[in-house]
Amino acid sequence: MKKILINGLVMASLALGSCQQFLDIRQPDVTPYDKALNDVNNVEALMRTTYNDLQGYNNFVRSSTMFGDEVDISRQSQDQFGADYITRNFGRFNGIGEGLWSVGYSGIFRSNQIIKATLANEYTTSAPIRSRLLGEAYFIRGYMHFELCRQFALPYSAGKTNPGVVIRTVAPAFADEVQVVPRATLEATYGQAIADIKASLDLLPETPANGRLGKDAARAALARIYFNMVEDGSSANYQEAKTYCDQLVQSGKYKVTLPMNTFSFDISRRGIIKADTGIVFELTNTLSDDAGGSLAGAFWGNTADNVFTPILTGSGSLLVALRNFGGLRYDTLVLNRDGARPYTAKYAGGTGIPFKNTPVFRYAEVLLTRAEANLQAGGDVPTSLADLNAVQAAARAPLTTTTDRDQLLDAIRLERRVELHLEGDRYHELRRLKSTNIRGASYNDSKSFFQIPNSEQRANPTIVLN
Amino acid sequence: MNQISWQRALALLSLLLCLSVGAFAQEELKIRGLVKGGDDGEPLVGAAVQLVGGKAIPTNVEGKFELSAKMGDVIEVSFLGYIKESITITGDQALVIILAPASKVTSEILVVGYGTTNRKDAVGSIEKVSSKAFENIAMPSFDAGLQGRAAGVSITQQSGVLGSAVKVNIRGNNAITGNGNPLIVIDGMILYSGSLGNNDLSSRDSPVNASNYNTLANLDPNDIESVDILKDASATAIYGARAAGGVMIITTKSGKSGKTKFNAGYYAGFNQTTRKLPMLNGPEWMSLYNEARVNDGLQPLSGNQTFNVNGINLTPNTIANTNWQDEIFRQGIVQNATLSASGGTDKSRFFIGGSYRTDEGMLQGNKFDRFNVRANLKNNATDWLEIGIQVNPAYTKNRMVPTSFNGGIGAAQSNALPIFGTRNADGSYFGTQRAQGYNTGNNPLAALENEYLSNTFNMLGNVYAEIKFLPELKFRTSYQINYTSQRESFYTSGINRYANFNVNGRDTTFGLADLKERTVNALNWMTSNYFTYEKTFASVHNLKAVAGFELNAIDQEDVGWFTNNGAAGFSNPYARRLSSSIAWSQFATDQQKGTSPTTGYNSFFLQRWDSYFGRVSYNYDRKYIAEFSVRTDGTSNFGPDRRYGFFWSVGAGWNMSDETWFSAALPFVNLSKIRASYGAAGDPGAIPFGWEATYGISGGYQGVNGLSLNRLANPILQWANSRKFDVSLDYGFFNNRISGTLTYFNTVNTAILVNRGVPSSATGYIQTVYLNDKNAEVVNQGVEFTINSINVDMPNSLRWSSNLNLTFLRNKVTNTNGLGPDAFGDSPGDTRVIQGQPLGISFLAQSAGVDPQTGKEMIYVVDANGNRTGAVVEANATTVPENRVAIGNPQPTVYGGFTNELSFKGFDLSFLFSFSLGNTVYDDGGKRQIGGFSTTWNQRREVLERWQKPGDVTSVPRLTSNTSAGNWNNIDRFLYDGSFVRLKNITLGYTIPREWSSKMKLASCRVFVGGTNLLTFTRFPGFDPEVSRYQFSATDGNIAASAPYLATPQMMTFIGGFNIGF
Repeated sequence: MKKILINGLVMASLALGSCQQFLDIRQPDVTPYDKALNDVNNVEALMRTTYNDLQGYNNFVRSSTMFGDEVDISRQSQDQFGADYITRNFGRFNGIGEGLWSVGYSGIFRSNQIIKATLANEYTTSAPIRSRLLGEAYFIRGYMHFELCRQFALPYSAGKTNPGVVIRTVAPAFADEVQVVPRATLEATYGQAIADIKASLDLLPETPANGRLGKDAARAALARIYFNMVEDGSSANYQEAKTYCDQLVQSGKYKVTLPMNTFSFDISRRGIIKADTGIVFELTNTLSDDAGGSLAGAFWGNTADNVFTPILTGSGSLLVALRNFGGLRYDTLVLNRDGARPYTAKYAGGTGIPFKNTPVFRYAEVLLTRAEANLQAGGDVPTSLADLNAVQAAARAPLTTTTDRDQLLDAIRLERRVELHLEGDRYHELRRLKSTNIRGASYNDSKSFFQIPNSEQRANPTIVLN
Repeated sequence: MNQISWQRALALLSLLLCLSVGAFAQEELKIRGLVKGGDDGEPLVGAAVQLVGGKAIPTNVEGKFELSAKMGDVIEVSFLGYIKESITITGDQALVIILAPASKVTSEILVVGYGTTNRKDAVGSIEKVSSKAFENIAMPSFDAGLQGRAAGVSITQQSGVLGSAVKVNIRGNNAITGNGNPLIVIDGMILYSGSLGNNDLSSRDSPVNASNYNTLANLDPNDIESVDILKDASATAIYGARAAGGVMIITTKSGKSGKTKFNAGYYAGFNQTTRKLPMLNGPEWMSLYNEARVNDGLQPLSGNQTFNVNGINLTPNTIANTNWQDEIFRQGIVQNATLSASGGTDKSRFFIGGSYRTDEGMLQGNKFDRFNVRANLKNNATDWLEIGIQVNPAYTKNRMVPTSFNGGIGAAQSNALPIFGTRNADGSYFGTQRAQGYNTGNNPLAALENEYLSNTFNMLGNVYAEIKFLPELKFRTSYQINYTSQRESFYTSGINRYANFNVNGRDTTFGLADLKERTVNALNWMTSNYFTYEKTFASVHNLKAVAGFELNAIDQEDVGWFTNNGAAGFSNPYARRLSSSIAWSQFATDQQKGTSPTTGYNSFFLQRWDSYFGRVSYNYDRKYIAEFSVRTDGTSNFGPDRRYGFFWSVGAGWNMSDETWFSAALPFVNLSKIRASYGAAGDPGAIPFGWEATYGISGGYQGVNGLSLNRLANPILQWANSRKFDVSLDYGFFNNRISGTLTYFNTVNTAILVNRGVPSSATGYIQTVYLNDKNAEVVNQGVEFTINSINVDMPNSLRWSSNLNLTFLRNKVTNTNGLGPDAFGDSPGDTRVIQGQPLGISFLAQSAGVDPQTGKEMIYVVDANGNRTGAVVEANATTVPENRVAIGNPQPTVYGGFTNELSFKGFDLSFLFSFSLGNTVYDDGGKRQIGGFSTTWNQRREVLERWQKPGDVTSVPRLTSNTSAGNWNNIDRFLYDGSFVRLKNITLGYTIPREWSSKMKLASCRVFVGGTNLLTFTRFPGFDPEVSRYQFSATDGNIAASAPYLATPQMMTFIGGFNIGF
């Protein structure tokens, strides 16, 4: 009896010992990093998350608007970081800057993972899918570099040798692979953006699925980037911008449609949408990532009686421009309950429609870019006037008739301000045109945009501060 | 003359008698004896009675024995914890032998890893806190009761919220991202000390209710026999990889053979806050609001002018005057009842008991109930086999309340403004009606309509067998499970939640309640198997060895679901708990109705341990002691190449006072022992699979999920190393009436696990890498001093004893691998890891006061080395981050406790002061409470001293409602001396004389009254210096504890009760 018991207990317990497989457990809900991208379905999923980063475009628009002179930000209820837009005391801990930096470089990081896996043939798929994935990744990598420059660096017009942002083309996989890289010049950063997007132009499909990037998005992006690259004494970049606009116009696929808040009430356009001929590329949203929540709701309300974004008023203001030249676009303004102040309803979804898509490139912008780029590059007046009038006509605004080049240029810029108001365009226009009064700040004042955020500063001693 | 020497004299006398008598009689005598304990007079069951040279026999259940002896024979009687007696047979055939209890100073039994030792033979630094510290004291959990009881052990209850977490730090903080808490072992079971306690419906590590919860709150303090706290390498190394923070071994009560004893205890009392924070009243707040408007260039409000604050429209004429602290605090009732029985035969012993506690706390809505049952059984099946089981099911019901940033008492000192009323004229809650403009969340009373329940069932079971192969060789195998099932539900009332609908073309708001639920099942099982060899060679070489292995697995799964945002919820106001009642509102759009109104989720947490351990202790004649211990731990936390870690310690001791030359030279010194140890323990970090990069489900596009890399891979991730050095002197004078320990310790932590910042441009959302920073080093060194004294000892009259323990601690980050202050993360409250500074140092701009001309808050400009340049600059979001310096001291330079116990006749009085000196507390809410006005918060009364006109000299700047004017910045104006001395508890008892209680058929009866936190001495102007910040992660617990945000103060409790034995 004693022997049996002792032997039994000792043997049983010793049998449990010394089994190293005991420690070989894996996390039940995840995929090992070295296997994940061997499957094209996983690469597609990673690409969806990269698009999710691109949806951060909402926040770039919002921030550009806050930097600019369109809304009365002093009448907004702001958190501490938002209040920095008023004083322009942007510190390294500004949470909004941190968020934009993070979303931009997240998109770049994930794009780099996809580019790496694709070029190394880590997964197998058909040639068109491989080409599309690579094209999308190049596009997002390039476009994010461009947007980051616009939030964290001086404009190109202030000199292309000024610091841009950090160029990242490698995705580290191991903790010890992370490299410290200094900021590149604006010229180099824009150059990277252009090279990437040109590469994507070769790879992306001509006819993409709804809400996905195609060649036209790359063309529109290149037009926007070149248009921003103002160089004294050279109109080569305007010529480039015009070239890509021309390709879009000549495709005949697009026409100017109703102003933005008009279509935003079209319920069929929520979520995965039918094609709209006025939009070159838009991010299609669902309940959880609707523009009403991020683009509009974050600083202006998204229900009809809860519209909180006050427009600046007074001489030279957006309000005056809209009243005199807006046409239907003036109708996007509403009066809030408490009285006379005008507020925007451009992004108002309306009751029961809590989400909407995010237009990134609209045809109206393409036409207005072409109208100006054409003149800047020494092109003819009728082409520019026709483009301008097409936009004005759709909004039922008074048509410009002048044939004077300078007057026409002014009219195009005014129309651009009105048509693209609150779409994040105005601030960059003021910087492109070297305004010395962007709500009191000059275009070349390096304190008037975000500081490089703490998450970069603390680990990158090479960083030049703004 | 004390009892011991009286008995010695008697023994000597017996010896003389027997020598004289021995010559005459040699016939066998039948001796009957009874052995009793000298402390309580109770029979001792199982005491060893041995005729010198013969076999030992145990006393029976009545403490009696019988043997045959000759006149002049000597019998020895011994029992653990008592001094051995030798009795010479003189012809008396009915002996009553009373064993004097051994002095704790030398013979106290200490529980160590996989065995026991005693004070005299121990090399390690071990503190023992006995049951007395936990019984009948109104504390929520046993660990809170350790405060001030043991040198080197710092205990902070996070706040006065019921069941809130207790931060235990043994000899300073050794971890950055790791779990800095000690390893907790209950009856041999290693508890998982991770994050299950962070009850939370949304994620494990971000408590939505802004309070962390204590996993040990389900243990009834009255079940505890003792807590042994292992501090140095010699004691902790055998627990290896998890012992960097020290070890607490909890031993639960067991029965003694003998008559079955019953014990019933009950107390009741009430809780209230220790303090209320002086805040502005309604009219004061209103006048400051107007002043800020004028300062901002606006007109003051006229009496009927509508203004909107925190989403509520008011006019100066319609403001209320509410003291929200009065609304939120209350006197809550606490009741605690226990009933236990213990006893046994010579073969079996048992302790069974049950308890119930119901505690209402000081915060409206807060309630904590604990149901606890225990059975501890032991059986000596044969003379070579002991088997036993300890079973402890416990159930706790915790109705939680929001605090800090989340509302409740946090709102009462911030966004619940004094100008807000509690109710509208129609009886509905103020500030909750959409018609007011906005649903505000600014009414803490309305928030109590929500219900946040956390019900936890915890089962701790331990079964073991101990086999004696030989008298000197034993094998023990045990199998333990700890099963926890926690069910939480968070109901948000329709009073506090809205949805908007288009009804007949009009935008209409409806209250729509919602519910979230979560269940966590966690199984932690373990088996320990080890041999113990113990033998004395040549009567002076004492050898003891332990060797064995252990397996441990933790499987945790969370399953939960929540009501989707927006239009889903309970339309029926009577429904609140049934998920089947949750649906899309009838007004929801078709598109919304096409999806599910609820979303489910689950998550896993897995960990495995494979461990081998051993220890050899040797002493020569109990004078010269040496000890060596090792442990190899393997864990699934690390990658295949780095799983196993080796930990070790060496220790030596010398009982100097046992040397004859010593006792001749210093006869009044009873104990003088020097001991030292050195060794390594480890920290496995708090992140399972932290080495492995994986892709997990992530945000997607067009409604389809995506995939995302969770972290960068680090296959070489491994243990953090904690090298501990300890040298101690144990002393005792004057028959040990004065005794104690003096210790110097030095702990060097290397290869610390950190989340180190990487340039976010490289990785975007992955802003840190998890690694062992090879060069990073945190050092804790200090001195512990304990003195126990028996000040007065008059037999049957006054007895007064005291204990004072002091810990002088210096914690320092000696190396950060050249990385700057922000590289390890920007912890809340601007606390940091900075080279040359204590862990969690405040990193703040220095206030240069308020400019008397402009009224602006100024700060000192500092150069790259942090030295002031002499210039000052206005504080704002640009200047403050560039002019921060390390300042203050997050950890006390001295902490400890002072206990006094007095007894006189039947009365007993004990009180404990605990104290913490030399530390600073950063009041993280201060920047908005006295920063220069926040239009969304109530203000502390200090703001009345604000700058008003040029020439005013004050520390509070000009009021403004502009939030970016520098008044929300972290500056040292809100860093305060956090020193305090607190009367932690006091108890006055009266034990009814035995003759009275026996008339009532009771063995004993004691009544008592007591209190907790009755007095506090501090200069800290914030709410309470003795609170720590809620934690979103283990890192926050290590770094940011000293920067509380909208604190909840500790509770003051008064109780009265009784204890009866029968």
